[in-house]
Amino acid sequence: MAAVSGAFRPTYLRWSAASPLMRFAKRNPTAATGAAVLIVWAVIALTVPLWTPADPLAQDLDIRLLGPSGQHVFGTDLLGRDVLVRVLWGSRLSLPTALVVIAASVLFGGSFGMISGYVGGRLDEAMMRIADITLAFPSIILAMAIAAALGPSLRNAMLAMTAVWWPEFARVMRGQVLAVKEYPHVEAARVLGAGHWRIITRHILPETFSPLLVKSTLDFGNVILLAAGLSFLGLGAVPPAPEWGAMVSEARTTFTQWWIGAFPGLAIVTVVLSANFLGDGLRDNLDPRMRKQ
Amino acid sequence: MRLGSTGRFLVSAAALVIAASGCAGGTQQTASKSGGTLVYAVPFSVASLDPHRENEDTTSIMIGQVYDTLVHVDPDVPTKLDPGLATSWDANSDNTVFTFHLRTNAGFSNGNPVTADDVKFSLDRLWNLQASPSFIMQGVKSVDVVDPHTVRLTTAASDGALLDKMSFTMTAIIDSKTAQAQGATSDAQAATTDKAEAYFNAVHTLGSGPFMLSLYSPNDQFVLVRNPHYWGSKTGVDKVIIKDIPDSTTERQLLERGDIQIAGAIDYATAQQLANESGIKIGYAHSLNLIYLFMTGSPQVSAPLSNKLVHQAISHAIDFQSILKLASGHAQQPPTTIPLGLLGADTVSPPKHDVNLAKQLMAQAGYGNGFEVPFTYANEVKYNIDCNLLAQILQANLAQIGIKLDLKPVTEDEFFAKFRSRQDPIGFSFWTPDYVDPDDYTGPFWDSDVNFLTHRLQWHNPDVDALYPKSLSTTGQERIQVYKQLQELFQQDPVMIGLIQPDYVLAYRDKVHGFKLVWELRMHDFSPVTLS
Amino acid sequence: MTAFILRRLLLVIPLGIGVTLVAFLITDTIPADPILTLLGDKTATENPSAVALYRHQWGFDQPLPIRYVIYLEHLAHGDMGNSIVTRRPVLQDVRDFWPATAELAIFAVAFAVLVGVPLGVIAAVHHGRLADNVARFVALSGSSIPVFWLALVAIQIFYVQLQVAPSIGRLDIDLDPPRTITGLYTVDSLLTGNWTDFGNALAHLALPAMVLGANVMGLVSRMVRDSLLRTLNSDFVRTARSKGLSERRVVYVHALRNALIPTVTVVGLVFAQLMSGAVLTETTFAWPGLGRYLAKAAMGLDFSAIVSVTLLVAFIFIAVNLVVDVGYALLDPRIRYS
Repeated sequence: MAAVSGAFRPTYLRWSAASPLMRFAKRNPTAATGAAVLIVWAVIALTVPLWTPADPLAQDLDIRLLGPSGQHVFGTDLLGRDVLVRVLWGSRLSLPTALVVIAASVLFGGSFGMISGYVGGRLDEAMMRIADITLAFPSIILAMAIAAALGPSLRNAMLAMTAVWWPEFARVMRGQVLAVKEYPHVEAARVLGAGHWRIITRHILPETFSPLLVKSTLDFGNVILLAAGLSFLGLGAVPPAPEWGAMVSEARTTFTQWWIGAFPGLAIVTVVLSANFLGDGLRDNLDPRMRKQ
Repeated sequence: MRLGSTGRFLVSAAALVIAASGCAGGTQQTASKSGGTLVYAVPFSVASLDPHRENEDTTSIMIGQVYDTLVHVDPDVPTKLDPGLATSWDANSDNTVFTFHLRTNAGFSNGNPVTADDVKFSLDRLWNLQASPSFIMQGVKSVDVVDPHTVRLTTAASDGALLDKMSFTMTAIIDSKTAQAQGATSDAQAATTDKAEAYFNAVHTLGSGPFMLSLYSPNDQFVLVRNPHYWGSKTGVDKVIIKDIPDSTTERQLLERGDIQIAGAIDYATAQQLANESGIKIGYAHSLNLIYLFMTGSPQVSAPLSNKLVHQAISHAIDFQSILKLASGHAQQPPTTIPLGLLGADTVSPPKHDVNLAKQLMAQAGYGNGFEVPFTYANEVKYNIDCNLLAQILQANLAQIGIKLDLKPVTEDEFFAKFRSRQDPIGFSFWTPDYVDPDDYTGPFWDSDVNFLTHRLQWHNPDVDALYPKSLSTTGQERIQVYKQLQELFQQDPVMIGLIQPDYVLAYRDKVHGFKLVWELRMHDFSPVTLS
Repeated sequence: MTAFILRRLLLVIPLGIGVTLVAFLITDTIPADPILTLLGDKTATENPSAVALYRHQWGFDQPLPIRYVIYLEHLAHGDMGNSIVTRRPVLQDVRDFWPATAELAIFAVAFAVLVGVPLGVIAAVHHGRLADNVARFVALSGSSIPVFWLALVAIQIFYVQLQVAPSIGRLDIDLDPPRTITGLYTVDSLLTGNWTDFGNALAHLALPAMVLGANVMGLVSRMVRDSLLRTLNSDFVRTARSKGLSERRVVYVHALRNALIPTVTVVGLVFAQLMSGAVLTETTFAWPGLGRYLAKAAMGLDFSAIVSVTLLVAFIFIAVNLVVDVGYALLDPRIRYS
């Protein structure tokens, strides 16, 4: 940022002194950019039904496979649908999917890891082995079985992805619990007769927020990529849903009509990169060992 | 399988017309040196390498090069049969006894001579293994060795199609001596006693064809080399590699660079673009492959979809033209379920696309408000048509008359499990002909005695049943009239609707000569191919 | 330490049984019939006796628990059953496909480490400045694109347009593979002095290894950056600095050594994951590896193959984890296992 001479101080710089958010943005421009991009996508996802330029499902086979033009800025796909509109609407599928999977993984994996770490001993070992097996299990088998048993749908794909992802959060939670368990104030609380529930909720849980937040942000992008991979195998969103991963994989056969896959692919890249940079920035600032001294 | 009693294949020449946009079909051998390696790319559909247990597409191509059959269908005149292992043949007046005279100079790739014993062993084994290709021997009462170079087949009933059946790749003649030494059996217990499949799968071929299999890598490639003991003319190329390339884009990239010479699974849009590139040619051929919509006839499975008026409504709601656009125009629309090109198919018109009429019919049936139904389909590319796209078009079409289809893409195995369960309310399926006659698309489809799809869909049309036998007992103009009437009767309750008959499309480098472009995989022949 | 290793090894048997049991149960939920595919629609519909016969031959007529016990029994004798999709013993299939996956995994990890570690170091050393952001951007870009798309783009650019990369597959289409010793073409061709195959195999590995490597590089790079940052801010580095050691020595000799330890864990994890077969990359590059094999087995409801490969993959995972943990302890004198 440009140096500012003493007399003239624009309003936003005055804010920067006060607002921790602005301070964060100043020190981590990439993380701030990432956050901004994600916010833009979130706004699009929430509001697009109100201002959508066209119907994302409207087919017109006479205009299929046309390149970007004035009428169709991102071109048309294999069934003549407008790619731009589908990419915009796709945010309503890809983003919430990742959110739900992360939330469910945090809830389930976090609880699992909490119990495992807190109780310790044999139970801990057994529970961690279960987490290990789940991590080692090929996700395609799991996803196929769930799709086959419960029927193919985005909801069931989310279930499959959660089943694959929860061990990651179990590990993080357990690691954190093991460390925090030994903290002096936790020891003190125990000595003073605090019950397990109180110790967990008042002392341990608050310490886990930052690592979980950081991991959630970083994994957000990976879940979107996982969903894309499942779509490639036919186990993701069901057509005609304009889910980004499904759109990219549909474009496999028409590679020279590059716009069909490139634009949803670009959407994925912007979200994943943003989530990665935001997550890095959060970790840089929240992890005490990372802060520049 | 029921067969035409007079059984000539009255395939009109138009059926196998080779489109003029640069076909290899008519190319004569130019001054090209023989030798080199031909690479043919196609997505693999391979299970077993045992020719009597296998009916998959890609394996059939390989088996056709490595093994020989009694006769071959002439690639230029599909109603004619050319000599294979049999130099001549005759049938008695009522087509129940067929005698084949074998050539005396044919030998297997290991040097053993081909004799009548090998023929009897192979055909018996094909029937008695009761595996996927066995149906072709249905109706054959016995195979007898008359002398070392004469074989006689006797059928239970008059079978005019038998000669053509002996051109199918599953009737491959294998070396019985070596096979038996490896555990092959051909008697009635063969399904339990035969142990030779492992031998075949370990890349041993016992064929007398122009090539031999020298390498098989699952999900990867077949490598064929010239058979030194082949009785016919020496093959043009030294080696043929059939490579597994699962998608159209990769095939295109390889073809452009010249790392493959023939791409067998290019989609239509890609083909159109490739046609403009130098060094690459595209060939199209009309096929008899059919994708058809089916609905149930049982109110228990689906009350609305078993309704005759709803069947009619749907037939008028489907926009067939947009479905044809999936093939970029290189497809045909059959009026019913009999593909165009077969006798009598073109005697009626397809259902008219009329959404208003469809809505009226829906209201008449009592479903003016529409209904919702799950639509399970195989998540595959079939005959170059992406089923996902087809399903979405149908969904959009039917939505216009109030029918909401819940698309459920599943694996092909799962789809067929559901279809066979007789509980599938609506979907689309595929059919490749077992033999080239309209009966293959009427008997198993419409007739209650054959009871194949009628059983599966729990649907019968007594008028059709009553008229059906006449389609087998008549010939010529009379038979064409019968098919006209049959189709008209069927269209009154169109529980099956022919959606598209996609052309076969092939892209190849222009250095490839002598490859006849035919849609039937059993007729793929690499032996005359040369590379310039 | 020995007790630790022994305890982990002892767990292998119950883990294996657990994995196979879960795999069996999961596969059973899929509502399809492999016998139908075996026999084809026509025979399966018209010939119920053939269906019964082949069901019996493949053991599908037994109830699930009995089939599981039979499978375990065969497994104890080293027999992984027969694949209903390839009609060959699963063990043979695994022997054929596993080396392809292993070779690709090794080269991909090598790429990810060779490029990812320096990027992570640059990012950490220039923390907060432009170089940090650029390095992270480069490292993450490969991990932010769906890998099958990256693969197709890479093929289009390097193979079709620039013509510097060879075609798909492990070797040129009409080249014969080297004599099989390990199954890894690079190693085998070196051992047999087959220089054509060696160069060719390397060339064919380049693109898929780079694509796969780029896809996992972000993880490696981030781990290096994070642990290096922590180390650089720690007490012992402060001590080293105050002792007057040059910044270079501090970073590259002391801090990096410490930072590499957790990186080893990540590299191990990544390697284990890649060994389970990168289905998407293998499919796009027509790489005949375990991932593609498993995908086809899953589509074809190939019980023996699915369960056996799952078991194999789980074992690799456990083995790699064990090696990484032991290596961790050896590298970091502060860690002692009991």
